[in-house]
Amino acid sequence: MVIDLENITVEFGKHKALDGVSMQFSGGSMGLLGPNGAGKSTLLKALLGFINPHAGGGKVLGFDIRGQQLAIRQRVGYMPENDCHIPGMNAVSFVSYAGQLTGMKPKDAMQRAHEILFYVGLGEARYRNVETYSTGMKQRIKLAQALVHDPELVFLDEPTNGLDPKGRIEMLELIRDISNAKGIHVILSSHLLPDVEWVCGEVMVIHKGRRLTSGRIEDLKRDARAVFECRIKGDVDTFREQLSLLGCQCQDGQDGLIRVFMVDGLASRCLLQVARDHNIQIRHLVPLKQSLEDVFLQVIGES
Amino acid sequence: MPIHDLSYRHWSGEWTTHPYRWWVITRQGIRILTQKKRFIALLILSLLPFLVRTVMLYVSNLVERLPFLKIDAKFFEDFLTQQMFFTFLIAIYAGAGLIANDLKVNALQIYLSKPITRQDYVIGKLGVLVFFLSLPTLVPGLLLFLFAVLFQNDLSFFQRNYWVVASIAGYSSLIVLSYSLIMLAVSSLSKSSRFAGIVFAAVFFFSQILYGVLRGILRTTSVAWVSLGNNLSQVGDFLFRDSPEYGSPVWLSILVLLCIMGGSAWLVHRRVQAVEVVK
Repeated sequence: MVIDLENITVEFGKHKALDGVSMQFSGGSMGLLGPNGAGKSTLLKALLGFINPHAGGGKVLGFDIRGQQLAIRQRVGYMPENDCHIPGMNAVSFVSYAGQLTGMKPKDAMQRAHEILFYVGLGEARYRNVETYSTGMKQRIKLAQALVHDPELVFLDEPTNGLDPKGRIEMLELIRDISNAKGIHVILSSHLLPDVEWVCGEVMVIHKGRRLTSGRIEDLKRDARAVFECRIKGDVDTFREQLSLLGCQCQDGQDGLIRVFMVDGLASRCLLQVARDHNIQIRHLVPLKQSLEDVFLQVIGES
Repeated sequence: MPIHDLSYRHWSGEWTTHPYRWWVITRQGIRILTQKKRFIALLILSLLPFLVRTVMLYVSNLVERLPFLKIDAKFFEDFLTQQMFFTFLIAIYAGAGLIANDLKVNALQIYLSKPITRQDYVIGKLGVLVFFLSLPTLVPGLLLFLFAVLFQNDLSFFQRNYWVVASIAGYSSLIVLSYSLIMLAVSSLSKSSRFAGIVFAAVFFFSQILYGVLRGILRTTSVAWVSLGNNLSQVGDFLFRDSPEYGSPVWLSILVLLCIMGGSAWLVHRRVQAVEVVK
């Protein structure tokens, strides 16, 4: 097991940032999903030993998160969310320095820094001072410093923040390559659902410090309730009210469309029945293919 | 077939052992500072008194019984006290940004996500200051003593003054450590190196002004312990077996300096965190 956590609780004063979170990750790539402030970054920091959990415990790569933080950090790469670097250095010195801090010899670290900078696409800019880098380049160099010591596992905290569409795709491709082709386990924390869906095979949804659901994305999509998109003519409030009584969730979409999350075992026929009983015309009714967003909205809505 | 593989490759080299991880930080800090020409100029300038005193040693050996050229323990104490001015300037130049600049660009997350502890980080940063502050104090102090022994025709000077070596080492270490720890503590309080430099200078000047005011009111030098510089000077007199300049007891000066150094170390350790918790 790459990560095995049991009932991790982290408190900041009276606020519970993590509330009894358990997590099992056997390898590959996992997305930590949740709205801003859900506790994703706190979970990563607890895994790295930056924060000591108030309750619970667990292991990362077989090392205890309470007593063997250094052994964990030796084998883990961390790409922080914030803009961060070490002042007064060019890219190659910075990445080499990061390697030396991990325990690489200076010569090895320098050679490795060159390789990694080419890999993340900063080969041509590696002698430029990091402070002069654009946002996209800074994201890449944060990834480079996380990879320089060839970690077994990387924690990527919002890696596509501030990137333009092209840069975002390039970054996601890099992460996918790291995970799929290079055999490095990836934990990707993001509030951007498409990013997680693109890169990860598994997902864990956190909200208000609690784990809402987790599993393989395909399984979650398959197990999720059916969703229909419909447009009606008639009393919308009555329609929504009647569906709510049946246990369905309704969400307003664009152009007067309503997204209906069905209850397990309830067929689309019920929608037609409700419409007929209340003299409402259904002008448009389409079953939607389940996306990660639907799963996310469902579990967040249920919580 | 590619000429050079630019793809990701796994690495299987040897790791260095953990106890020396702080040295990586010290080495890098030294490297960055020695690339600054102004700083090198300041270091060279700080060695001018050493050159002057070396000449004085040489001349005193050639022309005996010159009243203004007495080579004894006081000669070395005066040199180190004189060097405090350069120590002060170097501490500000080298130390003000040591932690403040890291805080400014969130570098602590990078440092502490590696297998180094907060103690490693603090010791590494402290090492930078200790190295540069030893250059105008401990190193030339010991060299001066060596020259004083070598310029003599016999070993009589060494036999009379061998204990001065320990005094030079002790006084230099006290100056270096107190300046370094205070500077680090001040640097850890702010994200601005300029602010840190100003506060560090203020600590020295304010304590000296406070002493001046208290002495004026109370008409006694027994309140000298309120001044950082006076405490160092008082301990210096004690280490070099000189009569104390101020009326305050030496033990009180030692206690004040230990408290300041301990407090500074505690403050730095408390401020160096990978996670900033906003309550």
